[in-house]
Amino acid sequence: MSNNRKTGHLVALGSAAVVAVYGAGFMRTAAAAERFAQQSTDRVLSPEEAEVIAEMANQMGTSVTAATDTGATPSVTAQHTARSEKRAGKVDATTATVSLKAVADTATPPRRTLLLPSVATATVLPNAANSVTSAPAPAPTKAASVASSVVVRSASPTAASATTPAIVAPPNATQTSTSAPAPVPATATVEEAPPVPAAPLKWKDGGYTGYGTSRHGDIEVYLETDGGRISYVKISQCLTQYSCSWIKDLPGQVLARQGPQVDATSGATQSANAFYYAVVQALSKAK
Amino acid sequence: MEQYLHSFACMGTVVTMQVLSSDHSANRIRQRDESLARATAWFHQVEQCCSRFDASSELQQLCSAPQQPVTVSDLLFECVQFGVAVARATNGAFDPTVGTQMERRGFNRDYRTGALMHHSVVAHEHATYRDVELHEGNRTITLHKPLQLDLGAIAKGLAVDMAARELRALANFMIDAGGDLYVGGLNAEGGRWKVGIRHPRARDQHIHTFHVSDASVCTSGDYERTANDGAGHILHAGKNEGARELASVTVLAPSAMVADALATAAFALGLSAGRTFLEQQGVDGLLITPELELLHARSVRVE
Repeated sequence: MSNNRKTGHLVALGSAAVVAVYGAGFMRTAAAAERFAQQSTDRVLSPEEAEVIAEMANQMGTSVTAATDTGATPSVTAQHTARSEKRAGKVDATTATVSLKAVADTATPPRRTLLLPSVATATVLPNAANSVTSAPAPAPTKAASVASSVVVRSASPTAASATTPAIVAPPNATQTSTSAPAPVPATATVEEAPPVPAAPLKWKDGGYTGYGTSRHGDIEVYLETDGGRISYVKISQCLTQYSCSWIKDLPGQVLARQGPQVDATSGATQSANAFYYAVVQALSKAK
Repeated sequence: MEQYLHSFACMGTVVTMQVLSSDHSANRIRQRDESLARATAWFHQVEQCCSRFDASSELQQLCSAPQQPVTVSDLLFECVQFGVAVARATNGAFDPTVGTQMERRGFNRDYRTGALMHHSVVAHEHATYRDVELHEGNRTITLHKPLQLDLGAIAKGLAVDMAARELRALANFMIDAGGDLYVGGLNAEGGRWKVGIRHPRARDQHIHTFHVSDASVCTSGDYERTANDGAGHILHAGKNEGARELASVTVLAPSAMVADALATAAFALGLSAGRTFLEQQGVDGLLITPELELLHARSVRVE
């Protein structure tokens, strides 16, 4: 049967597609990531470099950069969470360094790795050269209206000892330093930038309310945290167009996921119904 | 071993990325945060490209321009190409051109705003994957009939795969996109990641557990999203009604795009054909009947 000729090849086709798409986008960021993996030596920016790059970063916060390779997705990335929107205008620590590395590559001799604790968010571009979509992609901001990026650390005995902010400038060129995030060298003027908000060590104990909207309607969730873990979850308001009975088990799942029996659960598409949005939003207040 | 979590909503679900590390150096933390930022950005980029709920997405712009070759990005091209390949391999049981059927059956709300979506394309009644022509050389797609592509299964998996690539250097991590998982390395106990398969009828229980490393686990089922008539949103494209022979299908594969699509395809194929299909494709899987019988598909070397 002709079907036999087509069997067994989808895995290979899919893997090839993944490689192709990844290679087409973020080409430079992949190289930078590998350099991290190879424990390369990092280089500290000179004050002049830092200033130039910070300025470019601020500009990129409001505009898109052009592709530098034919067919290659420009390697600027967006971290367009609600958090970063709140800090519009301030440099946000969570954006990839590598976006600027791409620009630096064309402008200067190759560097190893740029070390930037704070970079303004840049905007994702579709493949500008080939895309049907001619406009830059403002879409990330739409998604951000409901997507609270919740960056948390689960309660772990060692968490309390890690007092580092999410991103810090390197103490010096040797990256194998095991010392705590040491005082930043005075030479890097990027240190003058607004301080990076630290990722929370754990959720602050307390009760929090979150509100989520979805295709099915709105839900308000109330949850409590205790000792860095979610201890109680309740749907406090259910305004969905379908009955809420089908979601009555969700609070149990949120608690159950913290259980030790499995690391993760695979299940059929768990739609971002209002419940999940509400939980994410509530957790975002527990920082 | 410290566990770092990053969550956000995207592509109609909540995505959680978990990174394990015993290295608290500044460099490691920066590497982790930059990798997570890039991984997150991939999700948003894939959504912006492939969402059928967004008139400005590249996908919708393609669907608004039928019967002409349209140059598309690598991302969209590969997604559509893979979807068509799965359609061919299943003789249309899986078909990415079922968008209008899903609209008629109620899956037509933008999950972010709840707004009712009517896409501008009036799809041809008999459009199928055969009406999608891809030209690899110049990366164009031609829709020979007006139709609506739905890349839900494929795009989410691809986003997970892109994110997994970004996190690869971090060694031990997990990405969970609403039940589509990719696990890298080892868990906090130093063993393979323990992935529970959700019990189709008891939401907070697991019916089976896999031990996995450097692979994806994706599940398709009939128990999450309900259409207007309660039949579930996996459509067997040939029959235009919800497939009911299975409660859920789980697939393990090296790539989430593959696992997601094959789980969706096997679910649409039903018990016997689905299991055969998975084994022919060389992936391991778990098929669960409505009576909660568990059947394993064990990968078989083909050719």
